[in-house]
Amino acid sequence: MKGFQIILSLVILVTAFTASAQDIPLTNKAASLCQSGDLIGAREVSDQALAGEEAAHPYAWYVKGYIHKEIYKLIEKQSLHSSNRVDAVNAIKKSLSIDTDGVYREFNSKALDFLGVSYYNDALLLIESFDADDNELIFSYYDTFKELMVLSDPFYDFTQFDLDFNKAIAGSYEKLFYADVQQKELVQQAIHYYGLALQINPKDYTSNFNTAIDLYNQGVYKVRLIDYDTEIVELLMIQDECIKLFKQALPFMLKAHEQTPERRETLVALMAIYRALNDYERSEYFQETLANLIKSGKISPSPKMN
Amino acid sequence: MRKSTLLVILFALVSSFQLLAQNSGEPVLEEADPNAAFKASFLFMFAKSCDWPDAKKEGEFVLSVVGSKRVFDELSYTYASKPVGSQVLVVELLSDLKNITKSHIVFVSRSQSKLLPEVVKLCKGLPILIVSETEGGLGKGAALNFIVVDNATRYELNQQHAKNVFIEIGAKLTQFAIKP
Repeated sequence: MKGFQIILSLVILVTAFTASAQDIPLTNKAASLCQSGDLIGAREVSDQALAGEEAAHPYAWYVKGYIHKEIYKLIEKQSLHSSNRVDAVNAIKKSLSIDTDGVYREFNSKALDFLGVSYYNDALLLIESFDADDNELIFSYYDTFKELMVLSDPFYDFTQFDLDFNKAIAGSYEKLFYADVQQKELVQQAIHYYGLALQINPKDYTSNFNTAIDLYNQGVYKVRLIDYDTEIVELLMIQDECIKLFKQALPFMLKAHEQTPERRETLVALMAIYRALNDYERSEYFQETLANLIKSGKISPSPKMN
Repeated sequence: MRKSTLLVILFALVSSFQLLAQNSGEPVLEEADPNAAFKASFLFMFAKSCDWPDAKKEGEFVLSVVGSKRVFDELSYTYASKPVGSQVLVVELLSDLKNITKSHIVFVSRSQSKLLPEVVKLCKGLPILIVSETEGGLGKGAALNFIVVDNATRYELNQQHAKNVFIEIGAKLTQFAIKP
């Protein structure tokens, strides 16, 4: 399949080359070298072509972009900081900007799709090994991915991408927070990115549920600070802070419940939040709802079986 | 052809972010009952901040719970064996009321509020601080009663009920009590 794609790309390159043969000899030579597998030679000739009059031709820039893209694929794909990828992007952008008739649009778009996807994949890799102190590159790559996809298709809808990206970032901060719950700024970041996801889709279950849990759990961690030495003034203050967090958690969990009314975790969380807010009537209502769903077989009696 | 290929690629990309979001794992609700913890903490403060007659200042300091297992668990986990003055705190969950008179404090939880009148009757005249959690608890004989104010657990106080059994309520407890 991969081999088929490479052959297809080269056929496209040669077809384009034939169409432009008379005006741009150096560019054509570079394309030929590229086709024969001499990518370094192709790059040198392409650079010579662009140092002269051929620089005015969009195809010359497309060929340069294509050559750098192939070098990137061949030797720099594992590198997050590939200079050939950057050169490929810049050359393709240049080709697009001077290709006023859109003759090479299809070729450029195909190259942009590939490059855009490579930035996306790198963003993904970086999220997997997320480091809260060093995440600028993730955002930069995600932005580049979007920029290139828009150049390829100006009407592309990123709604789902943005939603999932914000959730993935939030999840990464969250994971770090639960490894060390003293680092409150991490959970604040998680809640911030879930908030961005909720701006895109206010009904998103995960963002609502996770935000509510993160807020509630912060309250619980504050409760755990109470000990033998706690003075009454301190206790009253801790309690007020906790109630504030539990109140903040409630609307998110209710929203999650609206989306998935028959999920054990949501019902259990609502029972806990209402109990923490001293609203035993509502807590017992959700307890009863859960019991009825178990009775009717919609939720299994054992949490692990759901 | 190109568009359909692109759509497949993009679908795969969306799925990978979704997968990543899922893989990061859902946060788990911390198992806790914050209100039980607050009530336990208040009860311990009542123990620390009141003064019992000398006859009750020997042996263990007994804090009895009628009803709430959660409050009992919180008390046992955080405060059992801690000193109250020169005494050691012992927490008991009363399944019946026959041993109630050895208590220093009796907490009658919301779920067992129907037992409050009987508790008051059994403790009548004895230096036992009765703490309730029911509407009108003070009127039914408790010295302290948990109430809910803006979703928070607070307490109200009837000084006279404490004085009647020779227990002196500390100044700070009095200061922060909600006025009935």
